[in-house]
Amino acid sequence: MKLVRSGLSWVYVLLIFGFILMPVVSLVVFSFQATNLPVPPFTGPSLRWYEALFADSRMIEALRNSIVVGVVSGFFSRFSCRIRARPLSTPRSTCNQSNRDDPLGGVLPRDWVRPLGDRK
Amino acid sequence: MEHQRRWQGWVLVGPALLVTLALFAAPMVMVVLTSLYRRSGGLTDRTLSFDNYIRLATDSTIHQALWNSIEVVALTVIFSTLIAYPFAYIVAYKVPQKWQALVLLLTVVPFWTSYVVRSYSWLLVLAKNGVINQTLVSWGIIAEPFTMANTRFATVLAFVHFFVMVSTLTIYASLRQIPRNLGLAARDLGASPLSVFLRITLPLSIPGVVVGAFLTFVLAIGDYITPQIVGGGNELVLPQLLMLQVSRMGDFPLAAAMALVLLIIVAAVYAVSAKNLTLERKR
Repeated sequence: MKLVRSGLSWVYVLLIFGFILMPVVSLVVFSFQATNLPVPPFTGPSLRWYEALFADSRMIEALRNSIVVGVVSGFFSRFSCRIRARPLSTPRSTCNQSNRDDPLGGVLPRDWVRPLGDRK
Repeated sequence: MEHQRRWQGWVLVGPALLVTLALFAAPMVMVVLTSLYRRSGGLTDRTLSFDNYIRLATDSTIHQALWNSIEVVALTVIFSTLIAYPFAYIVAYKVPQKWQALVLLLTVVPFWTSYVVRSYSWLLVLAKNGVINQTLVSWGIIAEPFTMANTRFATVLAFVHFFVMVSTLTIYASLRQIPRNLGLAARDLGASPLSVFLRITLPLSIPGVVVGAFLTFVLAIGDYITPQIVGGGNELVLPQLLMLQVSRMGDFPLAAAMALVLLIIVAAVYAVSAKNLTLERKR
């Protein structure tokens, strides 16, 4: 019985991974499709679409814009978070109390936000 | 001395206060003000009125979109929680400790891709000639491909795909805080595994479930990308209608009023669930 339950658990884990990974895996696989439509049957592998992508100057420009926006917004959001989180940070001894009293304390798991304020 | 300490406090808090005012409070005040303006003759009339709110209360298209939003989000919350709970339970209690981090990492990795890319990839999977339909037809399970993309089912599925990960993490965090001794003591006293689960594990993991459900609700009800790409325009949800006001009609005041309605709904849900919005174990 225990073996059956354990087997079912692993089947469930595999099903969840299938569900989680299926769309992205499909996208990756069909990015190597040789024909026009990214649908079965798979006609690749082919680098046709990657060649088209990197030969298109507008695509490269868009890619560069994405990277610039990502880096700049990442920098400023980190900067903004640090100066906003700093006054909220508390010494370890009062951390539990402040977490209980903070109305937003429970919105994110404490282990995720702890590195911001927990200084030894 | 007291005066100096107060100044030091202001200097420390000042930058945070400025950022909060500039990036959060000021835009919110602008949204509230804009919601009180009117769109008239292709221009924005800055006379303050409640016209947009009266329209929100009387326009059946907006009511339908709001109802669609609530239905889609309710289904998403229910299915995400039902799928995530057993998964988080298995990871927390059945998967060996040394593999748990890897399993959680694999759960999160697909979500490092862009939100737009993930939504688009669901379109590929759900299309009439997509992976699922083609597989089912080739296995002889169905005779003809059926429509899944551009439906409410597709929107809910794509939402559930993302929020299963969120709920799994919050429920897992909650389950890991439950001392194993509680279950062992109960078993020692004759409780069945089902009884241990129903009377110890489930009640103590409710905060994780509520946090996951709350995050799912907040993030899904305001989402525009997934319903637009995967759900199509057949059944509009409120954020889609809001974007239509902005992009097609240029009616920013009505869009601002819709945004505030979404905010009020989120605030109401927060108020209802606030008691349980903590992953700290109740003492």
